[in-house]
Amino acid sequence: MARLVARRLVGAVPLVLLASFSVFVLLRLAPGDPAASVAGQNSTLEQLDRLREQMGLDRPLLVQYGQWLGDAVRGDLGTSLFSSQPVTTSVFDRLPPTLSLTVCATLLSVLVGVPLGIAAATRAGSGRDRAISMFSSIGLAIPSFWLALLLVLVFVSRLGWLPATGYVALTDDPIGWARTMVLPSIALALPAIGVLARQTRSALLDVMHADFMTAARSRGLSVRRTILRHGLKNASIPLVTLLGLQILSLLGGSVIVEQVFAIPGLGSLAISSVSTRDFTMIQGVVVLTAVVVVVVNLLVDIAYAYLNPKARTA
Amino acid sequence: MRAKRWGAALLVAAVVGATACGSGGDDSTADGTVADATTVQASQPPGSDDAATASTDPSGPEPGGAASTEVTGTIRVGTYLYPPGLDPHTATGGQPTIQYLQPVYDSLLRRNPDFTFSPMVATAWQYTDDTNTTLEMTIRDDVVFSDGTPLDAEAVKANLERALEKQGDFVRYLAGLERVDVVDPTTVVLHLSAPSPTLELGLSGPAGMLVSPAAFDNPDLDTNPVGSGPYTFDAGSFVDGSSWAYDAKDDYWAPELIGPARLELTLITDPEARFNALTSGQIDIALGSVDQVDAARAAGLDVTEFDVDWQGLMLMDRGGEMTPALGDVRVRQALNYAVDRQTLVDAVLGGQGTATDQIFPASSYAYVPELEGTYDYDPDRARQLLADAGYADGFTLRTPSVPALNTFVEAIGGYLSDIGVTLQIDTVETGFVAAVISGDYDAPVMSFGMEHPYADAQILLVPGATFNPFGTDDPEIDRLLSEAASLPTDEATEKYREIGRIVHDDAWFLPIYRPAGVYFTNPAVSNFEVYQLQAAPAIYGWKIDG
Repeated sequence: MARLVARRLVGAVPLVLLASFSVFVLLRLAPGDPAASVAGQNSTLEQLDRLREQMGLDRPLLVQYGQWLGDAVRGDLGTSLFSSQPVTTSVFDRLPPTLSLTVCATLLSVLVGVPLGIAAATRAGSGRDRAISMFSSIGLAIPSFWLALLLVLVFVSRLGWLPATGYVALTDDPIGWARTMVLPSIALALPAIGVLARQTRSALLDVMHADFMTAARSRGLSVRRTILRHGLKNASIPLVTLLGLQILSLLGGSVIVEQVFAIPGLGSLAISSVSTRDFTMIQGVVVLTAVVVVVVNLLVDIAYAYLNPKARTA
Repeated sequence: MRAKRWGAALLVAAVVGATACGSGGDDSTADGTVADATTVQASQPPGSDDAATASTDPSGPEPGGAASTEVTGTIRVGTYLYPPGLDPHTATGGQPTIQYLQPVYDSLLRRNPDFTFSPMVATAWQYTDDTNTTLEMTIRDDVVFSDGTPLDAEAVKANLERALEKQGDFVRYLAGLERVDVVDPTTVVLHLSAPSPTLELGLSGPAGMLVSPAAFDNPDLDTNPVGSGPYTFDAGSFVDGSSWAYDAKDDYWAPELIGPARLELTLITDPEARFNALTSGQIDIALGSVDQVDAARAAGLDVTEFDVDWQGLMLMDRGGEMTPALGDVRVRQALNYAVDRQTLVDAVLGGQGTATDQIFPASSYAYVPELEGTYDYDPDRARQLLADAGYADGFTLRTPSVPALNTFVEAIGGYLSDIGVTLQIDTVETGFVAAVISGDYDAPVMSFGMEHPYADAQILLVPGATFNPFGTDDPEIDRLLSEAASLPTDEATEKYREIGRIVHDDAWFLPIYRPAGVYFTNPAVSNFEVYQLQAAPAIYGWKIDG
C-alpha cells in the first residue's frame, strides 16, 4: 500500500507542474493587464511600464515561470498583484470554506444518494423505483444556482431559519458553521445525489445477478444481508470512481454556489482575481486546486486497493 | 506624455451598471442645480475678507441633524467594491472606496450630502489672492495619529506631497497643486499653477486623507492603517476580499461623527446575495437594484433612491475621421431625434429611470433644465436631417458592448435602423472600457457617472481627455472652462451651463436615460443619506437602534 501511495504521489508531480504551467501561459495570453488594474485609472504609460517591471511582467515567460516555480516549491506562491497580500496566506485562508462546502456536499450526496440507489435496486421496476428515478433526473437537471436561490427564498426569506450568506469557521462556532453550510451543501449536492442514486442502482442490479449472490442466498443469508455484505462491497468499485469525479465537480460547482451565498472561499477568490487580472493569485488558486484533485484521486486509488485486492499491485 | 485620466466615477458607473442594472425611480433632485447650497469657502470672491470657519458653515458637523454622542451597536454594510488596500493615496476603484478608508483616515475637508464642504481637519480655508491659486488652510491643533504622531501642518504638507507622488485615482482632483508651504504648525498654504474647481473635492476625498508620516513607508500600510480617523481597524477579523471591521475610538476628536461602536464591511458582489443578506438581517446597509424595491419594502427595509450615471452612446468621432457622417452636426442631432427615450426607460428599465437628452444630471452645475425634451422622438425630422446632410442612405456606427448592456444597445440599434443607420455591436468579454476609449469605435455605448462638471470635462470634453480619443476640440468649451475655474462657484455655474448647452446642441453624445439607483437600509439605521454626485455615501453619523 505504501508503494502505491508513493508511486501515485510521484506521478502527481508532472500533473501539478503541467497545470501550473498551462495556467501560467494561458493567463499571459489572455487580454487584460494586471498593471492597469493596480495602477488605477489615473496612470501614465510610464507608470504602467514601471509597474510591469516591478511585477516582473516584462521578463521572458519562461524566466517568470522559473522564478515562480522556484519560490513555489519553497511554499511561497508569490504576492498578489492586486492587493499585495501573500498568495499562500490568501489561498489557505480561503480553503476552509470551500473544503467545508465540498466535504459536506459529498457526505450529503453519499448519505442520501446511496440509500436511494439501494432502495431503487431492491425493488427494481416498482413504483418506488420509478419515483426515485424521477427524483434523480430532476436532481440532475436542476442547476445549483437556481436551487440555491430557491432555497434562500424558502428557508431564509420565508421561514427565517438559516442565514442567507457568509461563513463561520468551524473552530469559532460549530453550530454557526453548520447553519451556514446547510443550504449551500444541499444546493451543491442535489445533482450529485441524482448521479449517485442512479449509479448505485445500476451497479447493485448488475451485482445482484452474479453467481456469488445466488450462492450467498442459497446459504440461507437474508436478502438484506446479502446486499449489504456482498452486493454493496462489489458494487462500490464503480461507485468510488464516480464519487471521486463527483467530489471534483462539487469543488468546481462551489464557485457558483459561493457567489450566491457570499461565502469567502476559493471560488469567490478565483472570480475576483480573474476580474482584477491578479495572475499570481489565480495561479495560486489553480495550483492549490490541482493539489486537491491529486489528493482526491489518491484517496480513490487507496479505496480501490481496499475494496479490490487485485488493484493493490497497480 | 499626458497622463491618461479615467473618471474615478467611471468604475463605479460600470459596477452600478452591472449590479444595479435596470435600476429606476424618479429623479428626486430635479430642481436643477445645487447652486443654492454652494456657500462654500473656496468660492468666496477673490480677496474676500470673510474668513471661513467652522462656525460659519451652515451644514454643521452632524449630517442628520440632532447630535447624539451615544456610541452603540454595530452597523454592517454589504459592499460591492473590492479595494486593493487601505492606503488612501494609492486608492483606486472609485468612490465606494471611501467607506473602507473614512473609518481610519480623516480628510482635510468633509463633503456634505448636498455637494458642499464642511470643516474637518482643516477648520478654515480661503484663497488669499485674486487668481484663486493660493489657498490658506487652518489645521486643527488637537488631532493625533493612532501611532502618537501629532497631526500638524508639516504632516499635512507631507501627505499632500505623498498623494501627488503616489498618483492614486483621486489625485486628479488635486490637479494644479504645485507646492505646499508650512506657515506655522496650524497653517499651510497650497500653491496652484492654475485655479482648480475640484480642489475641495480632492481635499475631502482619499487624496486629502492624512496618513501618519511616520508610517509612510510601512510595508504593511495596506492592511495596517495608521491614521487619525474615528475608528481603529480590527486586523483580527480581516479577510482580504471579504470582510473589514472597525471599532470606534473613545477619544476621537469629533465624537459627533462617530456612528455605531463597530462598523463591519462585507464584500458581497452578487446583488441577489446582498439582498438576501439584507432581508435576513445579516447586513444593515447595501446598494440594491430597482427590481428589488417592492420586495425590499415588503420586507420592511427603508429604500433611498439616488441618481446614477447616464447611459447612451458617446458620439466620439465628431471630426468624421472614421465615419465622415458623424462629422456633421446634423447627423449627430438626427441620431438624437431618432430614439424614443421614454419607451426605452419603460421597456429596458421597467420604468425605473429618467429619460434625458443631456449628459449632466439634474444635480450638476452644468444641467440646463429647459434643454430636457428638446430632442423628443421625431424620426421624420431625423430622416430629414440625415437627408440634408447627404446621408439619406444611412451609414454604419460601431460600438463595443458587454452582456449587461446588450439589451439596451440592441434597442438603440433598432431605433437607429429605422432612420437607415446601422449600429454594429461587438460584444467584448473583457476590457470593455479599454475598447470604449481605444479609438476603434466611433459611437461606443457607455454608462457614465458624472460629478463636478470641471472634472467631467477633463475626462470627456477637452482634447486629450480619456473619453475623447478622436481629440474633438471646441475652443469655446476650453475658454468657458478656464473662465469657470477662477470664478466663485455661483458665477461659474453659468459657464458650466453654457458648456452643457454646447455639448447638447452640438450633439456630442446620444444620452438616453439615467437609471435610478437605490440603497436599502435596515429601519433601525438612522441618519443614512445618499450624497449628490457620489456613488457611495460617507460613513459619518450613521446610528443604529438596539
